[in-house]
Order: sequence, then structure tokens, then C-alpha cells
Amino acid sequence: MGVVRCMWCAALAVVLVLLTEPRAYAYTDPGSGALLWQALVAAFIGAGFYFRKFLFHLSPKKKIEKDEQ
Amino acid sequence: MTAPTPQSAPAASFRDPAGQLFRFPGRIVRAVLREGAADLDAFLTSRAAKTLTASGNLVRTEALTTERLTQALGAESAAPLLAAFPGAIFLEHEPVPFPSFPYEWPPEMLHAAATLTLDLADALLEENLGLKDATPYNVLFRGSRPVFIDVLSVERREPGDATWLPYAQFVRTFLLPLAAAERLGLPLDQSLLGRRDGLEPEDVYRMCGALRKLRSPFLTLVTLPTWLGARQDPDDHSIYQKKLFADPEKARYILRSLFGSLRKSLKKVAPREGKRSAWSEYMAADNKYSSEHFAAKQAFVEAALQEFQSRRVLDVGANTGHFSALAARAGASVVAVDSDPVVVGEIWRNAHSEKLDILPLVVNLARPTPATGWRNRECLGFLERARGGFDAVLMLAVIHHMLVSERIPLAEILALAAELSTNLVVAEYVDPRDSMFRRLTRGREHLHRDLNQQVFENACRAHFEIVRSQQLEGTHRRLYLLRRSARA
Repeated sequence: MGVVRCMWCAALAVVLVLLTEPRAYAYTDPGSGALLWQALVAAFIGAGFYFRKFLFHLSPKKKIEKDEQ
Repeated sequence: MTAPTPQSAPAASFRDPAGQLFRFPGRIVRAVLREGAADLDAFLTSRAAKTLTASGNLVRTEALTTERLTQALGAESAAPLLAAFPGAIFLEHEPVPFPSFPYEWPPEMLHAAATLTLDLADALLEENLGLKDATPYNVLFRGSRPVFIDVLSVERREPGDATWLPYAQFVRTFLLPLAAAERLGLPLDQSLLGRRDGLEPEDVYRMCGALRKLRSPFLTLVTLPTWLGARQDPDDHSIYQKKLFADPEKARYILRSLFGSLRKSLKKVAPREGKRSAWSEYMAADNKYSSEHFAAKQAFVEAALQEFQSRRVLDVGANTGHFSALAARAGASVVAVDSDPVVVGEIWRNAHSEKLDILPLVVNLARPTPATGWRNRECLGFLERARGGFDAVLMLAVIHHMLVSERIPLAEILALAAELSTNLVVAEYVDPRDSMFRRLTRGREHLHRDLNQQVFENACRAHFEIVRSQQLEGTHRRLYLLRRSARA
């Protein structure tokens, strides 16, 4: 259940990224290599975020709560 | 749209399109354009701003009506501002007593400014706000305490935005200069004085050997960004397009993790305590004083500061800050300068832990910090900031260094002392027969054969009256309490 929800969230995120009009506010130089590195790290951490959610959904505590419901 | 700068008052800060900053005698005024007003309001009413203002880490700010602005600056100064920024909001900031810049700080202070910047970014995130720049120029020091001064640095963030655009600037202006200072021995003045926006990863990449390139923190701060940047097509602008996540919590999670990893990097490049330099042991070991001489010198300085109730003290050649601390404990606000970043770092650590009002700066008075930035008006030079700003100047065991090592004429040194102080100078005369003096001359004694106590006193009298003097018994040194004469 958790996995399916995560996949939907990811798909929605991709669609939103594609539909969003790009706007840049910064007046400081965002760099190029550093920005790419940040994007890679963000993707990795973002995956961890879903993994964390996934683990949370599978956790015994959550299961017990669901069973009780 | 950027408003034109009024010619009568050139802006001290102007890069941010949301507003400009102006310096007037004793006053700091900021014009905020309409497009920056909502972000400013969101920040000033935030919990983060209130907490930081209460702790003294955010500059106090007050909105000025047109009438108050005219009253504060006078019609002559206010009118061009009002004409150049129609409909703008005007703010007045509480001035920080002595502005200083990152190339004058020891690594300890740059580290403290970086920590404050990350603390602010973290606190803002919880309120859906964010920093749009992350540079040490947003921070000044009030004594040893960092104060965030750029209230326009904060903007409302889009909830799904997981990119921290100032990331690269934070790395360039905080982490890489600290890493280069700590690991490569590159002093901050060398990395920051000539470069407004810090060190590029590519700059540091060239300074690193093959092994260092693969080691933490250089691998993630320098090597990978350099490799990725080299592969990037400079005409491909897609990387600069904003990427938004549907789940705001995910974006916040990513940013929190990013700030966490920046904190870890900051810890790795933190200056080590207990570092040694040629001057760090000067007071303890190299110095030829007995404890008796030292006590006599301390009593002389204490009595002078007490008698004249000095409130603003400049300690030149402060070394580890013994006399700066003495003045601060007596209630003075002290600026302590020395050319050695190691001893200045030690002064900062002590002042910070003891909460003493000491601003320690890496400045060599024989080669003071120049004015920098656009038209040399963005950051004033050290002398421009210091002139007439102190009612007492301490020049203890330093004049002979300026005479011998820097080859500055005695009359010039005393003329500068008279420009810096509005009242007192406490000076130590070191005779050419003194062992430290001879250590410095290295066989060039003939250059100073005409210097003696009488010559020194005559040079003092050009600007000062000699209130009293005291020989340090058994040495070739004499202390002078000088007071600026009325005619000087």
C-alpha cells in the first residue's frame, strides 16, 4: 500500500516539475558544479525520504494500529 | 527594476534588487522597494527574527516615516533618497559600533558567522522562509558576537522548493576559505581580500594534491562539483530552472538534510584550538619580562584607563589580548588588532567565552586593510573606520616592530596614533639596547643609532603632552601615558 502511494507521489512530483514555469529569484551566482552536486544529493536524500516513509508504513507499530482499526 | 542610486549618497550595498543600503554619519538607512516589502514583513514578524533580535544576533531595525527620515538625516540628505525611491519603505538599523569584514577576521570568527547563517536558514525553514544569499558580508561583529545585518536576505519560499540557491555561495565564501585556511595554510585575507565572492571549487581543486582531492571534505565541496561543472554544457540553462516537489514536507526534509550536511562540513573545517605561531608564545616565553615588570606594566595601563574613564579602546599589536581583556573588564569597548591570525583567533575564543566586549581583527597597522568593492565604497578601509573612533590607543611593545621591521619613521607612527585617538595613547618605548629590539634589527643597528629616550619624547610632544612615564626597572623599556595636546 505504502509503495503504491509513494509511486503516485513520485509520479505527481515529476508531472509538477514538468508543468511548473521556471522562475529564478536568486541574484547570487548559484554556481554550476555545486548546483549539480546539490541536485544529486537532493535526489539521493529525496529517495531516502520515501524509503523512510516506506519503513514507517511497514513498521510493526503502524501495523498494530491498522489491525486495531 | 532597480532604482537609480542618488548621486549625493552612493549606496554601500546595492546588489540585491529588493533595496539598497546607505551610510550617513552615525546612521544606517535602508530603502526597500515595493517588490521587497512583503518578504521583509514576513521576516520581521517571524519567530526566527524575534528570537534572534532578543538574543542580539539580528540587527535592530525600525521603520521610518517620511517625516522621521527627514528629521533623522536632515532635508538635504533625505530629499535625494525620497526622490530616488518613490514609494519605498525606509528602515533604520542600529549601527554596529565598528564594522569589520571577513578578510579581517580570524577563521574562528568566519566559522561563527557561518554557524549563525546556518542557524538562521534552519529556523526560517520551519516558517516557510529562506535565505536568498549566504555570505559573510551579511554578518558583522558586535564585540565578539556575530550579528546578522541583512534583513533583505530573507524571502518567502515556495513550499515545494528543495533547492537552496545560496548553497554554492555558502561553500565559496564560508566553507572553502575555512578549509583552505585550516588544511592548506592559506590565510583568510589572501582568499577573501581580492575575491568578493570567495573561492570557487575550481580554485581550491588546483591547490589540492591528488590524495587531498579524494579526502573529506574536499571530495564533496571541491572535487565532485569541479568534475560536474566541467562536464556541464555552459549553454544548457536547464539546471537553473526551479524544480518543485508536490510534497512540501519532502522539500523541507531535503533542505534540513542539506543544512545538516553543511553543518558537518563546517565542523570538519573548524579551526583547531591550541594552534601555535611565532607570536602565540610571545607573552609567555619569548618575552624578556619578569613577572614584576609585567605587573608594573599592567598597573600603569589600568591606572591610565581608570583615571581617564576610557570607553573606546584600540589595542594595537594586541598579541593574545591580555591588555584588551584588562580594558574590557574595566568597562571599555575594545578593538584589538594584530597581524597574526593565530593570536587574534585566541583573543576571540577568550573574549567569546568570557563575554568580553572585544572585537579582535587581523590587521597590520603598518599595512592597514584597504577600502574594497565598487568605487572602493562598499567596505571602508581600516583607517577610515578607525580614525578618531577611540579615546584610548594602546601601543604596548609594538612601536619598535613598526620602526625596525616595517621601517616606518617614528614621527609617522606618532602622527597616526594622534589621528586614531581623541584623547590618550599608552605607549611603550623600547630602546635600541633592548634584547628584543636587537633581535629585530639583525645587524642593522646603525639605522637606529640616533634613537634614544629624548628623541622619542620630543617626537611625542609634536602631538601629545606627556602626562607621566615610568621606567620598567632593570630593562631598557619605558611606559608613557600621552594625552593629545590641544594644539595637535
